[in-house]
Amino acid sequence: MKNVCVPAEHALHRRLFLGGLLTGGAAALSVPGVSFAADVPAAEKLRKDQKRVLFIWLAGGSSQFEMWDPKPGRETGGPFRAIQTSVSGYQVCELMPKLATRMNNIAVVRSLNTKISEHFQAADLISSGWPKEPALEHPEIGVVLAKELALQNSKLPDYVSLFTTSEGRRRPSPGFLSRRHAPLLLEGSLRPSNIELPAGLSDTQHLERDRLRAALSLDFAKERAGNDLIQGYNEAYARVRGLMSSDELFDLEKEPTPVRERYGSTPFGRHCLLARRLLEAGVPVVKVARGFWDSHHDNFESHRELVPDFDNVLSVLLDDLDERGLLSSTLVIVLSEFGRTPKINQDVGRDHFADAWSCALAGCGIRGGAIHGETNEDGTAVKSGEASAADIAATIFHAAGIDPQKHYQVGQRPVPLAKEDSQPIKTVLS
Amino acid sequence: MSKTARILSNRCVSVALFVLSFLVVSSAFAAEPFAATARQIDERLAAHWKSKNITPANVASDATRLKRVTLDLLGRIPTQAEFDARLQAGKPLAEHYPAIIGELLDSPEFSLHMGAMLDEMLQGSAAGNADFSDYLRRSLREEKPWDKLFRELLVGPWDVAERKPATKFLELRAKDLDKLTTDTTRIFFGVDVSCARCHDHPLVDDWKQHHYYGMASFFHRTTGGKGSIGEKNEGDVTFKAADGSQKTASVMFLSGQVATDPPEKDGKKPKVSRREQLVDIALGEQKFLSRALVNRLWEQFFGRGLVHPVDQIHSGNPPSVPGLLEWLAEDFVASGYNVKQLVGAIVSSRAYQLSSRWEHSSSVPDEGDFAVMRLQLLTPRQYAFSVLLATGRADFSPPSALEQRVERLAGSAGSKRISQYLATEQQAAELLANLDPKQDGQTSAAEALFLSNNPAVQKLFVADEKTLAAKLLTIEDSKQLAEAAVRGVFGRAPVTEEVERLTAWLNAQTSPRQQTCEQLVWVLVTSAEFRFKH
Repeated sequence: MKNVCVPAEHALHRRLFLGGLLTGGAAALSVPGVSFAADVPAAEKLRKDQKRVLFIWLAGGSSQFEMWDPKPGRETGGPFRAIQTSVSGYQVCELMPKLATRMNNIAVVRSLNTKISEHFQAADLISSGWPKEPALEHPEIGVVLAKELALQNSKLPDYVSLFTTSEGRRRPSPGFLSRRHAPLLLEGSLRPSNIELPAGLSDTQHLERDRLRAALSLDFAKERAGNDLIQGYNEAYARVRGLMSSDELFDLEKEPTPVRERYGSTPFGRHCLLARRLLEAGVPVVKVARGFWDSHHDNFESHRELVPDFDNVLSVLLDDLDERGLLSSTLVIVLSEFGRTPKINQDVGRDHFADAWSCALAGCGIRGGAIHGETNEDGTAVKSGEASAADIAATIFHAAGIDPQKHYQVGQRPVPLAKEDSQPIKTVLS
Repeated sequence: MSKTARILSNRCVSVALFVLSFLVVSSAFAAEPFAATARQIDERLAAHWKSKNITPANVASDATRLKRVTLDLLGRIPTQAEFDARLQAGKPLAEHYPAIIGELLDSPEFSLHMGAMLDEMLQGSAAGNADFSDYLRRSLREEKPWDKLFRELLVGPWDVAERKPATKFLELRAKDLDKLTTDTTRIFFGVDVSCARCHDHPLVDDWKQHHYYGMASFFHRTTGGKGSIGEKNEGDVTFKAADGSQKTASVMFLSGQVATDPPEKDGKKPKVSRREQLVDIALGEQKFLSRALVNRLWEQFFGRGLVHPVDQIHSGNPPSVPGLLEWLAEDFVASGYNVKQLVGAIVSSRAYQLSSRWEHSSSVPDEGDFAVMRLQLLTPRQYAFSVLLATGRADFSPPSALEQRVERLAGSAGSKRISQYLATEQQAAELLANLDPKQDGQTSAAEALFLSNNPAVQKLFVADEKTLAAKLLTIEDSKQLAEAAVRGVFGRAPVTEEVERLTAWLNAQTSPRQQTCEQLVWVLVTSAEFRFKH
């Protein structure tokens, strides 16, 4: 009877692959949902119910002053103006004119106090939501989300992490979770490694040899103590073919020219376009990291260059997700390891600063237009609504529909997803 | 007094046997020292099974046992020649199993493999430093007892080049007191006190805040980092207790024993090494150090510690088989912390030789009962070495008569094997990072992709000269080819159904025969029977 019962997600993904990727390619992908929603009514609902998360990681530490929390006219404020946004009473730096008009879709937390201002330690803290423990390595939030949001029998990866520059590159750590949940890494290029058919082997041969491998493995598993491991082993191999057939998914050329032009030709734009393709195809968690934010020198020059690209790409991305009906099911988070100092140093730079900085959220589970917390006049300290790294983690889990206090059993210790004393930031949650 | 006497008498026995094994070439004698301990392991397990009404699994087949013990002691599958020599028709393995254990433990490969294993146990993800792993390998080769190795790692002496790399354990952690305290306690004593840092341990009654800071006190004065390790003569750990009060930690071991400083002389504080105090107390206490290692080695071979997890040895988490860990640890101390003896005894036990097949109608017993061997993912090292060997890319052929003569003359017995091992290790390096660690238990899609499509991996299977694929290519008959492939990769006699399945597959292939042979080897090497220890 087992064979008759095909989980709905499985059916959906089979369709997506057969209909979207293997045959029609670009055309089917650019308007997904339409082709199969008609004959599979449940699929559209399912697709919408599937929760997705996109992390945008501004590696090195972006400046809250030049983005979400400007202090115009103050000694710490720098040269840029603040501009009014679509949310009454809230201003952002003038380098973000496009996002300013979309603030009713975005929530901002301006009151992060995460204390640690060294890159690696801070990155570990923010990306896991936990302080470092010598005997227990906590998984990165994206890995936890990948485990929680994974679709059964999906042939796609549960998590894809993109980072093509070397600065601040950190591979998302599975921590105490299995590497099975670790992301597919796109580091050197936008294509995953090892997804091409080996030279000299036909697709049929490749398929046939794996069938034989799987059959032998199943025979071997009979009556063995602990043979659930072999089931997992065969599942890992079962993903190989799916990943190989997702080849076109990673090919931006399959995207219509106008769409590509909207995202622009910067690396960040291309990464975010790829992220959108992956999310749309059903990859539940994607991380895009963008480097070069560590502006100890010439902070204003570097932000003048980086922020407009960020402003443009994130605006296009949010619009695109919205147009495709994906924004309400996709949580988008903009995070760094920390912010930057109010004090402008002798090199016209800003240094690391974790005492009062900002992050932004949009989409699934988020109340657009909510501005949480405040810093003081000079941005040197949090004035109200102080939030910790653990609070952000709890907020992310909550927004994605996962109980932040759900536990994993690690040896004898029950470990909650977000630290015991964390609180989701209710203001920004819908 | 009696303990000392026992140690002495045991030492005498082992010295006597050591001498004997030189005089009498029969290696059955060399393995004899393991029999007594192995028997105790089996008796204690038998009593446990009886109390739980468990009938254990049957003993595994000869080929399986030979493969299992070779993987565990040498870190690779047996070579074809080893299979042939050790599994002769009409000679059951049981008759010469003790002799084989003796040979494996005496082989230079044992210390090379075991050294790499210890390196991973001690250094975690920072393992792989050649100086450090070679130091461990030499130590094992010299049969340096575990208590001595422990002392060298924590206090030296680091006076000679040979022992200098021992500082690497401390160097890796010297700048981080928390890590140094927690790692040392977990690795050497099987105890995780890190949760007691901010408050008494919330889950474990044994561990209070003063245990954590007591242990930290032994390391607080340690200075240095990369390249050097020092120790100050003063400074105490102070901490904020959960009630908010500021306290000075007492220099206290896990057992509660407090280190006492020698009295002042002429108004001067005599020089004291806190780390040396720790080593002295731990060696006096014996049980923490011995149980932790016994449990870790047990886990290595059985896939699970007698106490699970291995860094959670405390009163609230008793061993799954009553009394066995305690007894085995005492026996280990009595043997003079002899690692080789301990390993030999564990793999000589009947429990270690049980099948991974559960053929009884009753449900599979708990993992902690050790009544059936659990499937375990091979470590990346075991798998990489085995893949290289099975495909024919690694050479473990014995030295020729001439090479043996050279080794004898140069006084470097075993040097060919060491070269072969290191060459394989170099080849394996490329694979290791892409293979899933054993403790993961599960396989990632990344590993499957790597083994399925990576060009360098595919090259391993090409039918070059001396490879398995090339040998198979010379066999015309599909059935014979299938049988040879099963023997070549799995090291066991083929069974009818699988030969039929493989033959049918071979005959259905339309590609050139060479490619078919190459792909067949890929299939066997990536199948669960080869990826798992069973």
